[in-house]
Amino acid sequence: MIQEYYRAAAKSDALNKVKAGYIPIGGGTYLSQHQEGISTVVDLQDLGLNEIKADAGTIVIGASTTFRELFENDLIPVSLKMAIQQELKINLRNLVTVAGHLCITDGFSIIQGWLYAAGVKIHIYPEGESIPLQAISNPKELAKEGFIESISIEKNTDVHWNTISRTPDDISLVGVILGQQQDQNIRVVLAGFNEHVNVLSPINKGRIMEQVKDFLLNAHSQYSNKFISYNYYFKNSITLLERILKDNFK
Amino acid sequence: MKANLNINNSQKELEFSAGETLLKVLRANGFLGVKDGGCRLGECGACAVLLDNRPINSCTILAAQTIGHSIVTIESMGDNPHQGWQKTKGLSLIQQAFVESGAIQCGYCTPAMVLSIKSLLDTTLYPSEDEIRNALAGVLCRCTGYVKPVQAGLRAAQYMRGEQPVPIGESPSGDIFSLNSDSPKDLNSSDHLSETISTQVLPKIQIATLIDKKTTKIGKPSKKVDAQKLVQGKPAFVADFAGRDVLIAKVLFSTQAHAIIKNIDVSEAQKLPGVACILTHKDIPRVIYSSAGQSDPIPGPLDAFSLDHKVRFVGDRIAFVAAETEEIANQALKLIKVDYETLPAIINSSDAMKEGAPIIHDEPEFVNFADSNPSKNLAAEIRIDIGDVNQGFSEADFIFEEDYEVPKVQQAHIEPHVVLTYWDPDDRLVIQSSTQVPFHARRILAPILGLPVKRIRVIKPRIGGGFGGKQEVLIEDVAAHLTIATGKPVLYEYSREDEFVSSRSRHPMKIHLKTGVKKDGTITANEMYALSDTGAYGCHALTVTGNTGHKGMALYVGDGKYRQNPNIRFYADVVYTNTPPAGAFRGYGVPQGYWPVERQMERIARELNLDALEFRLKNALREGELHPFSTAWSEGREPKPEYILTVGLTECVQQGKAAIGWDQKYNNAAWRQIEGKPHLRRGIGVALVMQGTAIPYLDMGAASIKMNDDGSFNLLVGATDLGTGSDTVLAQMAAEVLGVEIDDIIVYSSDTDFTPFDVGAYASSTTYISGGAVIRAADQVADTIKKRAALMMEERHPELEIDANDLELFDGKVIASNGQFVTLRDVAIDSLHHQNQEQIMAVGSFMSPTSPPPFAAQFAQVVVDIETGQVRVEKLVMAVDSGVIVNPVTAAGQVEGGMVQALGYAVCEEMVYDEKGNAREKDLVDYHIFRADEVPELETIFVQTYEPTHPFGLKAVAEIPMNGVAPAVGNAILDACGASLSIIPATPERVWNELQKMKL
Ligand SMILES: Cc1cc2nc3c(=O)[nH]c(=O)nc-3n(C[C@H](O)[C@H](O)[C@H](O)COP(=O)(O)OP(=O)(O)OC[C@H]3O[C@@H](n4cnc5c(N)ncnc54)[C@H](O)[C@@H]3O)c2cc1C
Ligand code: FES
Ligand code: FES
Repeated sequence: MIQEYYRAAAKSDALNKVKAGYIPIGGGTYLSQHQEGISTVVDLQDLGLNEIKADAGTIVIGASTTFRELFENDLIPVSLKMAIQQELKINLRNLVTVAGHLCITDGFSIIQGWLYAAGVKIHIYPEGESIPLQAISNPKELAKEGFIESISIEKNTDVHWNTISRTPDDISLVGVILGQQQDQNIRVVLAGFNEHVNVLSPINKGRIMEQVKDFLLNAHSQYSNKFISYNYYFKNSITLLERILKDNFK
Repeated sequence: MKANLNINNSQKELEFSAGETLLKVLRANGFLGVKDGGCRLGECGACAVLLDNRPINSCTILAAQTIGHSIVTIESMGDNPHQGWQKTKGLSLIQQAFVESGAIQCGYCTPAMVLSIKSLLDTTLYPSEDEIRNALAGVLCRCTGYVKPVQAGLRAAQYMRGEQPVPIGESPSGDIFSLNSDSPKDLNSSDHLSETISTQVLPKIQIATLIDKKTTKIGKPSKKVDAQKLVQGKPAFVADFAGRDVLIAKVLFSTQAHAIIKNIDVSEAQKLPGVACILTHKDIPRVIYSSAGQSDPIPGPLDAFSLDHKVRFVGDRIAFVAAETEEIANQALKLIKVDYETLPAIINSSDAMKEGAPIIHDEPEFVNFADSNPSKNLAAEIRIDIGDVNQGFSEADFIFEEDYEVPKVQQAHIEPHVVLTYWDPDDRLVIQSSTQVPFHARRILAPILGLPVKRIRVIKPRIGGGFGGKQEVLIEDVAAHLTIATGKPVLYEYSREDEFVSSRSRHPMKIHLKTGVKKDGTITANEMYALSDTGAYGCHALTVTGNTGHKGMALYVGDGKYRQNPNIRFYADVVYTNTPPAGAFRGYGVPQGYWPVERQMERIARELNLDALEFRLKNALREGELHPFSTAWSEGREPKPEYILTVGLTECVQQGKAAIGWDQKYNNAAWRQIEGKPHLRRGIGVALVMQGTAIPYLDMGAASIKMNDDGSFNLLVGATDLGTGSDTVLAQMAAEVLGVEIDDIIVYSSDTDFTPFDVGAYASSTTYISGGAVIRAADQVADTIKKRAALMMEERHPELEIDANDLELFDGKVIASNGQFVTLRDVAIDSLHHQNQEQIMAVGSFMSPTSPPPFAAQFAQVVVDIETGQVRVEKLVMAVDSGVIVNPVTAAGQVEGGMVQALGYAVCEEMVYDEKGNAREKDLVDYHIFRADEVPELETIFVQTYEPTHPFGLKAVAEIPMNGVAPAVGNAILDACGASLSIIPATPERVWNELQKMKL
């Protein structure tokens, strides 16, 4: 149970608290509900971490930016906005933060898949280092000695996705997200396969289908989508991938 | 911590702990318009408030996070404009629009919806329909299908732009929406398909010539009588009445599907500070009962105890805890140690009757009903033979046989089950419950609690949706036992997870259907076998499953000689399994029946190359015919013949097919294609359905009407409005007879101490049965008024001789044919104060010897992805014959909400269990119900008939919308791509599997 709430006034202030064992809180949509084992939290809302900025090549998004702010910002690619609209309905969009979502997400998340496919980098305070999201197995672990300050997306990133669901707003039973930067660094992300989104990278442009099929076959034992069979997932993730390739990467 | 929160533009210094959510803090401080949807996970949106003018779920944010921000709750939006000498600002324009548009059914989601629209309209006064749907998409509504809330949003925008929207009930163009149009326009075109949603909330209505046009209140879109309080978020629901000293109850649920409890150790839990009481099976009397809220004698086995030494499903009860706070109660649950002896479990209904299957009910107290047999795990056995099916099959040219399956699904009312119990000063136990059956609850609870009926008072405040889930005495005993044990008030609310693991649901069934048909399309015999899964207890087992046949198999009797002597067999075994019990769910067994029946009708029509609609109508019941099941089965009671006097089915088909554009689309290969999308195919489907209106010779409702000094009336009904608007239509009926405005009728429902008996809200009975009672009471009151008025007129004009029978009540007056009148106020004052004083009041009761069926034609249009099996439903049209429509807005709301609920059954809702009996679906993410931004276009058409068995010619409307959507969608999928589903929901994988079979 959360016993103490602290609202940090400056990044250094927040860092001290994190080092003292306080858990950073973003929108609170997860932490307010899952308080077991947590006694102290530090709220980052006053640190000005909700800016969306762009320079020539990169869009930098503050960690506390809500998905509503992303959704309404012209710098944000339309395909990410569409993922946001499908996954987070307005009441959640208004609270959930980018960093919170990176830390707490399940394998069905198209937003998370999008961020992986886009090759997003995470910036941790205080190191200031940029760590590719893909290099991190559990973003929450990063926050042991600091907190997520921002993420960045290369502007030249092209991400496309396709899903299958029971209804338009329902969780994506099968989700395939494909991202690439300037004809290289292709990434395929599979959502709905198991409890984490699965990132396939590097992908050789000429062998996309084979590589994805190989992954699906080799990872069979890790499959855990409770709603659909492995066979259905296998066949239809390939169908979605084919469609994405046909429509966007001729 | 102590902190200032800016709530509704005012700084409030509040004390709360760091871990408390905003929801908890707001409700604890009297902001009761913020509703608790039980999920507390951000799924339902009932708890929404505005934070810096944007909707957020108050259950998913710590109160501390909101310091320094502005919080807006429904309490700031507006007030009742009529508060005596006090001037108020009145309702806000958004609230007015919600009230006028009929956007409020149970009202549990309403405060959140109003705030969502406010947030949108603060940014734009010209919102598109899509923008409104997006704004509402954060709030789940299980009642309305979102049509009227969207219309309310558009209407509110009009008001806020300073425009005057078309008054509700007035037609903007004198078109087919016109209520009073004597000659409805020819709908035989589909040009209105592109009509976008407007602020016009009336459905299309076709008027039967027989209908008495003189009515001034019947047929009018009156505002709901409870809308004012609901739109303000006033304390109206059970949880809103809990005082600060209330103990919070929690139940320890079983983690085993089938086990003996060898030992329970509550000692650690009992030591926890703040725990007031823990009860196990050792502490309370062992009284066998059935939790099904039905009339006496309960038509099903008695097989349940409040607490037992055996558990029969994961989610069965083990212990009750009452504590000072919810957190302490939850902690206490964790400290209770249970030693189980695990028994083999039955999860699959097909295993229940196998040799050597474990016996789920071996308790010696078990009380059989009809053909239940616990030694075979049989909660009920149904064997109905009408005519001679074997002869019928031998006369057929073709036999069609198929297996079908329908899933377990949940009512998912947004207000969870909730009850508050306390002793009143006379030591009578008061049970305030969100129940559809207050009188049954009192009768059923009395022996369980060791109290006589007279020492129990059940009060039903507003209900935040029920859909049958609250036709169950599900949790009242928990709080009552704890109040008896502690002497203190106790509040027990289900969480959303509790609802999924421990509540009731719709019976899943495996069905075999065999149909004999002649070459010309005459059905010669129909035979259905249903294996129905009642779960661990036999609540509603016999009656739900009986209705699968009684109403599902009654529609298609055959033609020619078969019409008079149909050959129908309906056999069913209702078996126990170690899964959560099934129970009553809107439709009550009938949706299960129409999935196979209407899928089979479509297959037959296609295989024999018959016109799909003509084939159906050729074999369907017609006016004047005997209900085929009426002489064979009546819910375990003696059956009596019932003749069907009104059938508007042909007209429903005509109107519905015009609205969906059937003739242009059905079997049209070119229309199926979607340009540029070779993997998509369109399809169109239909299902004809019927339902019943109350249970004949059984359902009884009563009403009392009392006249007040000012000529207004108190109408007291035992009927329970669970959001359907029944209080409103009952008021309309009383107002019609008594010649007053609706707001001269003050409705109160229901309270076992004050209101007359009513069986409750189920079996689509309230408008018909309770309405009949209201009319009888009102007729008596009107007679008394007329007699007194005649005397008063003669006194004033001794030269006149007035016959009371010639007087009419109209416009608040008693009027003679010569124009003389006295006002109702004059009559009231005269009767209460002046001479021969008497209280003018009367009680009326109504029981019907017949259950006139409503009929409907349900159409669906879908798009199927033929590579992945994904289905999207584009449009649903339902043309309904529900007799005379008392209130077109509330009736249309029933159809719209019902269609969307039924759409979930068709495409996404199901409850699945693993081999150990653990539920797959425990929240509203995994169990998806439709949101505002994803519902298809909906169209409702009423084809009115005049049902002569009712004083105002009406039949039921509430349940029939559940029956046709799934088969119409299934048939549309078949039309689109040839995939012939036998199991619902039509998930992508099921459709894909069928598509793969076709490739073989
Ligand atoms: C109804 C509902 C539906 C949902 N649907 C989906 C879905 O479809 N797919 C999906 O993936 N998720 C879904 N979620 C989960 C949702 O995305 C999470 O609740 C959300 O991501 C948490 O974001 P937050 O900002 O509220 O985080 P918080 O609750 O504030 O924090 C979550 C975690 O992030 C950490 N954190 C936050 N900010 C920082 C920071 N700056 N640095 C380091 N650590 C930080 C916290 O310490 C905590 O561990 C759903 C949630 C709800 C309620
Ligand atoms: S979203 Fe808060 S109670 Fe459901
Ligand atoms: S009116 Fe929306 S949940 Fe009942």
